[in-house]
Amino acid sequence: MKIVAGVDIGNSTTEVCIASASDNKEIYVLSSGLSMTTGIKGTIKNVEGIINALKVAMNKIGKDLLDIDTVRINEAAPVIGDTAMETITETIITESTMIGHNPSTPGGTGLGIGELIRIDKLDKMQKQKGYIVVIPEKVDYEIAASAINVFASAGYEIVGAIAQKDEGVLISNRLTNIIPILDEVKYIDKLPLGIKGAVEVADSGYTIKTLSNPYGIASIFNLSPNETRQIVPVAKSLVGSRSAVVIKTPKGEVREKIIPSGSLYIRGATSQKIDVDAGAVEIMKVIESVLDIQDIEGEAGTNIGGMINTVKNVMAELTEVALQDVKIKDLLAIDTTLPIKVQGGLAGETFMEKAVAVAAMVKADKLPMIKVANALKEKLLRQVNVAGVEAVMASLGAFTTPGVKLPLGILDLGGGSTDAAVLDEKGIVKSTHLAGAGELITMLINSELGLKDRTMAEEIKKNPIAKVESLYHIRMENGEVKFFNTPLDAKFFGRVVILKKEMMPIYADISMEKIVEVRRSAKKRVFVTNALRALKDIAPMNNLRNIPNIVLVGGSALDFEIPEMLMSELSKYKIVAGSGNIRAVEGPRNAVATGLVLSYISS
Amino acid sequence: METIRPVIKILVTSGSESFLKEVLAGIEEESVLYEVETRDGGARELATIAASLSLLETGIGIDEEFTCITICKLPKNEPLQIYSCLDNDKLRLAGCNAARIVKGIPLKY
Repeated sequence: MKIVAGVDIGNSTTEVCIASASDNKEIYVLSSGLSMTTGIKGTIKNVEGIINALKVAMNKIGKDLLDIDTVRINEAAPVIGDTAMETITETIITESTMIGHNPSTPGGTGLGIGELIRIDKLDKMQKQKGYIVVIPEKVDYEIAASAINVFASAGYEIVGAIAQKDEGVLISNRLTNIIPILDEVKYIDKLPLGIKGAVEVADSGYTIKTLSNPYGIASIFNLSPNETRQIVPVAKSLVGSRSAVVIKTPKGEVREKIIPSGSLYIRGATSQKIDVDAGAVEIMKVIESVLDIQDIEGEAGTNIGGMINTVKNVMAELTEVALQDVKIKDLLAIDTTLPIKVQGGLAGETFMEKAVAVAAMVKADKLPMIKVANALKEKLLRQVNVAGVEAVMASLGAFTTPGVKLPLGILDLGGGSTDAAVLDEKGIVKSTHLAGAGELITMLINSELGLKDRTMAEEIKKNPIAKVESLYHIRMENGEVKFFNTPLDAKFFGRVVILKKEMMPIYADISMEKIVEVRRSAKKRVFVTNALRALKDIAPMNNLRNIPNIVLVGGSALDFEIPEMLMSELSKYKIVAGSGNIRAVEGPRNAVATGLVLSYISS
Repeated sequence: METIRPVIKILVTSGSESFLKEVLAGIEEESVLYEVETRDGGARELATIAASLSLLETGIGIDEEFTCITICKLPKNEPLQIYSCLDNDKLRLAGCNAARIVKGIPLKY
């Protein structure tokens, strides 16, 4: 009898499976183990993680590393992926000054159009002309209010105010006439004085109407059709605000720069060109229509060109291959939105611009697993082999899930790529690797919520969220309420929190519904799209219905909602799909390691 | 006496009325109503009593040193937040956050 260990080095975890092989070629699985992968997959640093995982597994059965006779390491799929995103519409960059923000408590209501004047210069005002008063923080709200009252009663027209401190309501409550007051404008000294501007505050429960409408702004400032076109980003970024200021910049300061979105060239058995403007759906149709893709290029000097180059550069560095030899074999395009900073915004205003995100897949040379095997051999003084193609091993392992039959499909939902394989009755495995997986989802969540925080986006992807409704209870996204015995930290109060072991507050001002919507749609757009693409690719006669059952394996199969999304989508094709349960005990983990052990008999 | 209107109750010691202005401004900016009463005691204790008198179950206690905000459900003399009376900005914040608790929106820091 021999003790065999199967080792699967993944991007994030290293999994092992320990089995005994009897002389009449019967395999009994004894235990399994899991440890964090040390170093980058395929480097000698992995050895440490492997030993840790082996120790965990051997300890479970009261043996040590010396009892292992032979170790089998996976041959990693020779593909790597990367992601990028860029706006697809033409980018117009204009210079105009605007403030659009949502202070929680602006003062007054209405629309005021007039010349900007600092509060200490009120005596310079002329009659029959409208003015907007600018109030810096050193001016007390009582003094500001009484000054405005005095001048207003003397017949001057004060039509609006902009305050630096959060005192909009305080000033408004002390005024004899109601005017719109925008407050909490941090960089008030950057406001250009002496020129025309407009302040708008909506009634409570409403959002502004005039300044969020390009024609509204055009009417106020007498803009030409061309100027109106340039003001669109400003109007767009003000949509949904309760208060805003727009100031007309003197002519000559308006600059325009157009970056074309460009085209994609897909070269394969046939070559095709597609305008990125057409959107993700059209791009994917073209990619599907080209058989045997050799490379994908972007038009030089355009947004998409820059994006494809970025991906290729990263790949060249990772695989240590010359840039011109990096060939993209698959690409997944997804429609998304990207927060674009508005030029001339005084508070970092952004607007959501249509964008396309791409994940690209590059074939690499065989990852140097053999180096890892040799290093492990020196350390353990045992036989170490690199054995088996990853997809084949995963299929073998997945086949131990109770309730499956051949032909069996597997979907490996990873971080960088979506891999699929189908194992038929003759024992033949057909596999495919597609661009786009977990990391792309994180990127979509990050940009669509405007988080600028990858770690936060990653946590949002992995965990459900809740809203802290009082110091003693939270309401979860499914409506369930949870109570606490001790009061929660005041910093969580009123916020949306991520439900990890410890709650993690999301400080960005985004509603729970919006976060859930973005999270679920990102998962759908990536994994549902890719699952169908991958399965069509490998299904007998390219017909999904020819695969009766599909087992989900890999890290994302552990996700709290991805498996059910895929299940409901695939059931439309009469496919039984669900998370794997390797050897009826492991869940979706350990498929490759188990496959490696099982394949020992045939080796 | 328990308040009849939906107000934040504020109990202030007779020597600390000068701190009121900023606290009240903080509440006013958030458009929440309040009621002030003079009473002797420590800020923590006053906050708890004030909360118990408030229809909104939110109270503020102010003494010569501190301004405390609390809600009924919190243990006695363990206010939610304590601010120093020496800093006008902190006093404004105290009023503002008391109002934000009533409104159920995140606190300011």
